[in-house]
Amino acid sequence: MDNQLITYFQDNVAPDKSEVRQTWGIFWGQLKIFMTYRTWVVTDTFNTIVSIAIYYFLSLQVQPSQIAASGYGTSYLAFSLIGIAFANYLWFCINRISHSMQSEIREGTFETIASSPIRMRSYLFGQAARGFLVGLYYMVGALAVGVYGFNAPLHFEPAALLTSSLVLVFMVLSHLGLGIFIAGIVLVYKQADPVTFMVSLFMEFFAGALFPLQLLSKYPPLAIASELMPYTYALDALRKSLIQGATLASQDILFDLAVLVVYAVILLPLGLWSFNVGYDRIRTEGTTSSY
Amino acid sequence: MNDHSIETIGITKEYPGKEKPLVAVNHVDLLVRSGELFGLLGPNGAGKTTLIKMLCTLILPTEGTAKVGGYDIVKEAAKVRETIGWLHGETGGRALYWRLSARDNLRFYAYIQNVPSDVARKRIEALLEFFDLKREADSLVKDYSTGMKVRVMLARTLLPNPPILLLDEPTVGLDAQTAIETRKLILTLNRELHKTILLTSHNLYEVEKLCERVAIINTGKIVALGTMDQLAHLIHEAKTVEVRLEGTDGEAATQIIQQLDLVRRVVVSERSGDGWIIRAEVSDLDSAIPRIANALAGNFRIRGISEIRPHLEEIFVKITERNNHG
Amino acid sequence: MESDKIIQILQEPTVRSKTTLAEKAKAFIVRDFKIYWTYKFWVVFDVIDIAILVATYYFVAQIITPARLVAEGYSSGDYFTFAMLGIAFSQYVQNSVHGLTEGVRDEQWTGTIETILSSATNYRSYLLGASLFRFLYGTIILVGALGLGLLIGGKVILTPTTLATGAVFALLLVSGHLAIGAMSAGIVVMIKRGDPIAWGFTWLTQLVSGVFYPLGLLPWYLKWVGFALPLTYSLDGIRRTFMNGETFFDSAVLQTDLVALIAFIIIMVPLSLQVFAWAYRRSQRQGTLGQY
Repeated sequence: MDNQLITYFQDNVAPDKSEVRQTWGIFWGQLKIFMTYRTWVVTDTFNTIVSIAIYYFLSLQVQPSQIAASGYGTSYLAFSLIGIAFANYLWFCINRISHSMQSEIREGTFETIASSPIRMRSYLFGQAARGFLVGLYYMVGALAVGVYGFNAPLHFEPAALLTSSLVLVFMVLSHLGLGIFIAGIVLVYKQADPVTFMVSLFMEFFAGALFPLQLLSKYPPLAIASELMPYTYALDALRKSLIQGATLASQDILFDLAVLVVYAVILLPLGLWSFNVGYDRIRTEGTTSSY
Repeated sequence: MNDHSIETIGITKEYPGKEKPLVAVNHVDLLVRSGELFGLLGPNGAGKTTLIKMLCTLILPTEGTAKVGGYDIVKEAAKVRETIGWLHGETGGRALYWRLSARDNLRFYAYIQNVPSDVARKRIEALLEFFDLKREADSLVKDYSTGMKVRVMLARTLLPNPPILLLDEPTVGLDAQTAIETRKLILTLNRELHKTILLTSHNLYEVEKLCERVAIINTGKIVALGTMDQLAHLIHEAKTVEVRLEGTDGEAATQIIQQLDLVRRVVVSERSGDGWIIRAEVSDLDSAIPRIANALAGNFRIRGISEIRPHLEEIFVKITERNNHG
Repeated sequence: MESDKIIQILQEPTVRSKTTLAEKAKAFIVRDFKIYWTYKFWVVFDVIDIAILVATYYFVAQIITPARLVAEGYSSGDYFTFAMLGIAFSQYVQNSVHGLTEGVRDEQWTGTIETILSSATNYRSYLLGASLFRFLYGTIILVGALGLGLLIGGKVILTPTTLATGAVFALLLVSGHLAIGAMSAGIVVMIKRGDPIAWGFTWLTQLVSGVFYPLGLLPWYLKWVGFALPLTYSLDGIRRTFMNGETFFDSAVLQTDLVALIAFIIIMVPLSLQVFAWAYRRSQRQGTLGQY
């Protein structure tokens, strides 16, 4: 063996077990991979612009009074833009974890990760962080296109932006547990995309991404389901801050935030626990690499 | 803890089957001593990969226990993962991030293997140099040949400098020259750095050259275990001696040898270049060599007399056949 | 099995006759069905997805004014039926096109595409075979979506003539999109990527084909893009048939839609096969057919 090479392996080096470092490593690696998919970024950007245009044309058929009755201004474009842009962001974050898990299992790199000292939660958080960052680009882009391209009347004052940023953080935290739970499903069933797509459709429907929630009041089971969705509260707070300019001084916003915190506290540990259950199951079944 | 051994006691892995459970690994007892270079052989589906994956903590055993580096694979799985380096070469280089370069694959791995950044940097450059990957180090792995991908995986396995290496098909997909260099590397890692190495390979020549001891696993069970000599004796009731003579008058020598009471039969008697080779099965090796030498001395010029041992391929085939036929 | 037995079997005289296209098509359908059946729960998700979409637009319809639709010639002004038909049929073709490009991508990944294309089956048969199950499955989901839509309030005019007219449009819709699928598949074979193209196509058709709103709302330049897509004519034809009760015999607009679709198919089908053939040969020349 090369004498110089051997010297690097004769030293006794203490390992660096920092979870922050492990999380950073996953985030860095996944971001680097993402940056090689330039075509995807271009087409996804195009798709984002086109989707805003679709809601613009749809909005031309909606009576302003119908939206005013919901309490979120009179513009259906603003109403739906926020509903869809933030739902897409959320889907991005949730789907990121499970989709990458699915790819890694398929490609064989998951076993390499699973047989290394990295803690699984560092792996999950690193994947989520990458999803948050990339999703943010599309979400901000969608809002910018809606406002500057199609004149959606949104409030971008500092206080409103600060409020909506805070809501965004808690929205993500309240749904992170769900994303990790779905990743656990991927571990066992090796498929994620059908699940996350369905979950995102559910969220958009029951939170009223495209229509005022008052319309569900005629159907009590649907109305109850809507009250149970964390995205309902996130969307309410986001619309109030970005359409009406409400800030943290508003009781409604504080209530919505409190609900999101409760969901985060409950769902995050549950998600991690169920992921561990899924991981133990595949180790029992010996299916860490099959797909 | 300086125990760098691998130990399994009755380790078993069963999967539910339609009529009865499928037993992939069946009460295997194995001890790989600290610093040993140990071979694990078996036909496809014998249970090698399942056993290795249990040692890597990727699969939970149904019964039995195992310790790697002194840590229990179930109760102290995290510590086991800090002790091992696992190469799954049978994937042919697919278990890499194809959208990262070799350098970035290694950098990423350094993070998840807790290798401090400054140490990782130096080791990565040294490994890229050693595995002749430096020139292409910043190209995406998806554009590499299979051999290059396997070399990246080898580099990755060594990067955290684990005391125990589980090398599953380390030379698959490598060209002859690279395979030779890799075998030399494996030997050096074992002899100079005293790493414990568990090696599986379908290249029996490689296993025979490298390993001190070999276990043969078939249908989930260890069916043979030992050094080459010990394994050879399992299949050969008769010991074989080879006599190499100068000159071409070997037939007379053959007749003399056949007369000896400890010679069971002569299996080969033929010209070999400018000499003659006689191979005879004998009942007692210890006395056969001096007695044959005495019998031939004076009348024949003897180039050499030695015991010949079957190659691992023959041993492997005979043992697994015997096992398959009950 | 010992080698002697294998040699014996191979030495038995056989007449190697060409499998018919129908037999090959059946083989592909059976293959895809069996693979799909190992992921049974996909069916549940697909059904739930389309149900949620239909339900979403049921509620959206309650805030849409009918005036615009009436002005565009959809006499009932019923937005829910308008959207339901648009979503059901656009999902149908998008899933089928996506399904084909994803299928080709999967076969590149697993290596089976080389196995098939080096066999006695030519690439045309391969494309047809690879599409069939997806369109068949899509038809089942489509019927389910329409059924659900009718159940929750969609209003359509169902007579033998409207059903016959609708069936013609649906058939032409499928044929046109088979051509688009073949072209996308060719691009996938060449660039080893599928999803960006397929998703771009999805969003474009949703924007300009009148899936969610009548074409009159679009600026002229987007309308002209829409006129190049078969879904635009199919949706218009299907809506006028089932919402207005129009048929080929009494509607000049439907006749125009029909002619446009036929023209599209006549141009696109051979063109798309050429594109696939070109991409295939290019990959052969470059030696990249098996790359992924």
